[in-house]
Amino acid sequence: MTRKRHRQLVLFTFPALAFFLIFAVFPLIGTIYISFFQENVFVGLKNFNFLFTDENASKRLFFAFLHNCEFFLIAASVQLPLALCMAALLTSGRVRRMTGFYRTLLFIPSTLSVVIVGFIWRLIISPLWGIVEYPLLGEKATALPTITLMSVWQYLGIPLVFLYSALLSIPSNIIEAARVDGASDFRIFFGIKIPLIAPQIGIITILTFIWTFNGFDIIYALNGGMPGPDYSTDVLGTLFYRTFFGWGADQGNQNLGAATATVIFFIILLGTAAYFATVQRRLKVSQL
Amino acid sequence: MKIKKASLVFVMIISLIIPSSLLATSAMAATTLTIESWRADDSVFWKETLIPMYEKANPGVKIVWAPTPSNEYDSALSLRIKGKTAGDVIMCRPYGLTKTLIKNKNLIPLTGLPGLSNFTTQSMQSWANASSVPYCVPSASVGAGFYYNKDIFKELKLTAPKTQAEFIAVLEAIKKNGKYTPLAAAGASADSWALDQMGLELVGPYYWKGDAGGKALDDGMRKATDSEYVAAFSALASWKPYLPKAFSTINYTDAEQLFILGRAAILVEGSWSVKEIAPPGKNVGVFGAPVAKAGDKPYVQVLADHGFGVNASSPNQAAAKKLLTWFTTKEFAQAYANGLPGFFPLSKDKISIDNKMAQAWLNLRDGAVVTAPIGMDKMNTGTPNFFSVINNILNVMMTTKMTPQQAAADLQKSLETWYPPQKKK
Repeated sequence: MTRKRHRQLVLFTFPALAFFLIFAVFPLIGTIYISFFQENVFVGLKNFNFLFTDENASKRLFFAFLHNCEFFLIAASVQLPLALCMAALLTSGRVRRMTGFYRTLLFIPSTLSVVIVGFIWRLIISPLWGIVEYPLLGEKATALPTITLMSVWQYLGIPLVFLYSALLSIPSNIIEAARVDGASDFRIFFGIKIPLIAPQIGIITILTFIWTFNGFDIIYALNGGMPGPDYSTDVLGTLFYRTFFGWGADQGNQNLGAATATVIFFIILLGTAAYFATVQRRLKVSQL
Repeated sequence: MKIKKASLVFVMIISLIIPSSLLATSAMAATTLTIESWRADDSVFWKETLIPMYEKANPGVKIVWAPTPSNEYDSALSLRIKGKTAGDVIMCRPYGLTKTLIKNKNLIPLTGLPGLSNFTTQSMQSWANASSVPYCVPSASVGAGFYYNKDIFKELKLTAPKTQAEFIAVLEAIKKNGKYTPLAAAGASADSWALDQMGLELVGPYYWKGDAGGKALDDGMRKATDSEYVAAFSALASWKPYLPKAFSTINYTDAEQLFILGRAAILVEGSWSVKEIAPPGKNVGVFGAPVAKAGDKPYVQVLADHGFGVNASSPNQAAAKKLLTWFTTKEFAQAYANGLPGFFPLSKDKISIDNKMAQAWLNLRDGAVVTAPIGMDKMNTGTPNFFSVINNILNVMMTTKMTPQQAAADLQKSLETWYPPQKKK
């Protein structure tokens, strides 16, 4: 029986496994492989050496990394507290029968196309047609935070749903017991609910990290492959696109592009690993 | 139980096979020629006019128009050429990518193609190799200049300016009136190419003396920081006070809209947008780049826009060459000039242009020195290439406090990092 079950398990996981191997693992290894070549000639680490030492390329790589960090910090520090507040409000019982309505409303932007979100927001904040006088997207200092906030607006629904379901799964008897003991709403939220959903908060943070460091779409939709002004919204994703595929009169270099992709992969890998090793392990689910 | 398992496996296999069978290509007509292009805007004209014209005269040939968005064309085409999946007929960019394709033998030489005698060597130059062997049939050139709203000019009692001083006086008068934006242009970084092709390359040739100035920079005889180039940067920078508010967020379409809606008096644009900017009935005029001294000969930029070549790995080269021969005829040039007003044929044939606005653009060339843009050829072959660098510099110069001197110095610095003739000795 167990052997049969085992065979069935293999059979049922096979399609997903094959899909994963063909479309995720194989391209990943392939990318790393071709990053060691240039014009079909093995060159070892030369591409990486160029990326990190060439005056122009290293400057772009460094700034793209910096912009990604900014992207992540703004997204995490705005999106998470906002989603938490919304989720707390939705589960508090204060909105009564409107819960479903608000939940849907907050999730709708996540289902929109990035191109549409970018276009709508560009029009809303356009000094020419919109409601903001200041050229938010045209100034170096404000362009990236503005785009980040558009993205936060769009994807607020996803952490919200995570936290919402986590809050719902807290047994009501604990809350009731606390209430009987005379704990205030404030105390219940910070003393009981937050510790119970801490692992979810951790997961959301790391997902935001991966999502922002892979970020590309909204910036490309708004600013193209040479995201300005003066490269101020250039992130690793757009840098990779420009290196691999080329942009305007710049012709792409597939091997150098693969090297850029490999660098991005390792940044995300190391960031995630470091996070799991230091923070996530300590976020134990509180024992009831 | 057994049957169930078998059927499960069967369904799985089927589900893997069906999509692949759908991808398999269907049967094709006798000869199909695919044309690679970045002119998605012209699809209707090609599909409804040009292709039926040719297919009717040449039964057995089926032409497929396959455009790619302009910004992605170079990279997408390069990948398709490498993967041997590119179309049979390739629309050629002037210089840049085309020179790379020629070098890598991805295009076939067109020596001896009947009808090529219809073109001057000069007009084939942007698509030829170092020894002037043509690889593409020249099809269209464009130019940049200024559209102006005649009604607004009449209201404010202004006339189209000829000199830089008159130009600034006109802009100042519109600004003082306060009702209209004096000069609409694109300042958003994503459209920074506009400030180059319809900015520096428009007003600059007068100062750097056209092709001579381009060659001097190419050969390293002069530097970008020399007075004639700085003067060109300054001429562009003189627009700054008259541009729309929040210029750094105005993209190409915004600028067009400002002018079309009558909110801007002057629009800097290219001849290619005649149809959108000056539809029949619109009271719009056009003038070229101003000169510094009255009586000086103006310089008019003629930008080779596109030609057509044959993919070296195409199995239908003979049919493709036949199509290219048709592209050299007067019949084609005539249809092209009227179907796509603002794109001017490069052949020697006398073509009559129905569109008055397009004719007005062509008239700008009368009595002017005709010149090609600088930096398109040799300085675009390295990294960072001239085009990307100048686009970014001009965008920064026009949207921040950067001076023309700093802009020229930045350009020179970038060239010195890689361009051999300009490298510091």
